[in-house]
Amino acid sequence: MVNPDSAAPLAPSMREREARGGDISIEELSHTFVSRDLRVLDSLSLEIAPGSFVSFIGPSGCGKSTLLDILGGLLRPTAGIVKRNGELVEGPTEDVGMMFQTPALLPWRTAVDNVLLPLEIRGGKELARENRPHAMDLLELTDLDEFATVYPHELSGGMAQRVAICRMLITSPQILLLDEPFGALDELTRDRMDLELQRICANQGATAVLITHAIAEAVLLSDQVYVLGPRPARVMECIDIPFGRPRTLETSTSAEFSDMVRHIRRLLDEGEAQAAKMLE
Amino acid sequence: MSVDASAKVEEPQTVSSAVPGAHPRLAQRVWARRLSALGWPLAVALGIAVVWQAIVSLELVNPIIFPSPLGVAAEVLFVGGNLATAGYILPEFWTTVQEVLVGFVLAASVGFSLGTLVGVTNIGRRGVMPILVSLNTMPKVAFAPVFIAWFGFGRTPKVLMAMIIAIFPVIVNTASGLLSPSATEIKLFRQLRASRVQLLWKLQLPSALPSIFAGLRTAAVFSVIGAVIGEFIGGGSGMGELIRVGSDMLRMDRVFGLIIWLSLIGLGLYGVVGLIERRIVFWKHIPTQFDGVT
Repeated sequence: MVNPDSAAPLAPSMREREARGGDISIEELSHTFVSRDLRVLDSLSLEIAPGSFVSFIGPSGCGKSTLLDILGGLLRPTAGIVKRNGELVEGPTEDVGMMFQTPALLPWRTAVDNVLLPLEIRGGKELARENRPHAMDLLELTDLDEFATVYPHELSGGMAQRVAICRMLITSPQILLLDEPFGALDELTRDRMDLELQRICANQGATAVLITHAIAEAVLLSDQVYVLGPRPARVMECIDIPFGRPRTLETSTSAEFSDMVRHIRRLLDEGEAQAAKMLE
Repeated sequence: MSVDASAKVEEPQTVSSAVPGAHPRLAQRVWARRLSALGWPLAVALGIAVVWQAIVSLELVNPIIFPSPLGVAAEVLFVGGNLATAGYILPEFWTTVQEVLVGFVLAASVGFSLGTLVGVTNIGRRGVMPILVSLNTMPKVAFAPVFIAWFGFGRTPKVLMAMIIAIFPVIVNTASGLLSPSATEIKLFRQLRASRVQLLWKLQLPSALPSIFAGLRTAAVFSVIGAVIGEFIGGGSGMGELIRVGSDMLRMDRVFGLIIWLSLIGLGLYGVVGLIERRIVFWKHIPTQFDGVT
């Protein structure tokens, strides 16, 4: 619980970074949508180290988003165990922040009031008011301080998604769950947002889990990329991405980078070919 | 690579649009648009009036059955004068205004409450909503004799008639508005561990406001219809009664004059609701330079 007495920014200093991130462990996780008799996840087992950036990439409809909902405690898996910081996930918790494909900003709230929404829900208007300076800091961090009192319909798609980033960060979550957050943006904006996301994750020292179907994005941002096969999703391969940080768009022009992208591309294609064969 | 550059590219558009009307050329364009929004319908109405007057002047129809626009205009002035000088029409007009207002307020408050119950409870959504929708298809006018049998010839049956006709759009729009938040918005609130009350108060109700106001605007017009139908059938007093008597006497010009004043009640109420809407649902009405551009 956030201490309502502390008006000081909730963001951690860089020194705390090591201790902050949460670890996630998944054991034999399976999920079936009973009503549709649809098996989307098939005995997934993996560990995500604290403070690391991990991506899941796979064909559409393979169950990536379902996995993220389960990690966030929004959905109970039909089988298997998910632990965060050693504790069983049984519902949404305060140490998790989520981002979705759409910014989902409330149009009747200014940018800064949208950023403060999580705190208002958690501790009422009082807590939100006390943390307004913190919200302004976050908006400044994403170059939006001038737009703090602007309503969402006056923001561009990229700006709106940056406000959504700030809203996710206002509670200083240990774990960031990102469900194709930039999927709806144009490629140029997306590149910029990716770099910004990398910077923020480094700043916050949080563990980040990104769902995407953009291969280059996954390789650019991640420490590990999990390639998932078609439904029901299984891990085809976990690829370690060795590039140092901070990474830039330069990183993505190296031969090693292209090799990795090509490798993942081939894995995804193989997965689809297998699935097609199984249908026959 | 820094994001500064990106912010600067996006900045100028949004800053100017944040202050609507501050841009002189934008203000000019807004006025031009308003003028043409007024000018076109006026021109068309004028054209119709000219044709109408010609038909009557050439005696293509009997003027007793079909009054001329000039005759109607004279009657509009007559009724207006009568109202202004507290003549015999004023108490009738006032009676109808009261029936409409009470009926509208009842429809708005009862309709909003029922709509909320329907929108937020499972039994309301699954059990009550289908019944309401099928009730809505019934010709509510048919209830007028029932209300008169129950409540006599006073104002009560007319107010009830106004209410029952006006209440359905309020209920249905409130309920559907409360159910309008997207799956992502609901997921966000669940992830933030919002309580049921917080979900209703911070997401569902504000999301429902545009739809609720659309229902209220319809209700404003419908409540006039309800009151006048009540007066037609129940008789006694009110503008409906005057119109009925006028057409019995084949004073068509008078009838048209009365109808025009009657419609001002609905128009006024509609306008007031619209003004309140613009203030409350401000995020749907802020004009921006790039309307339709995202």
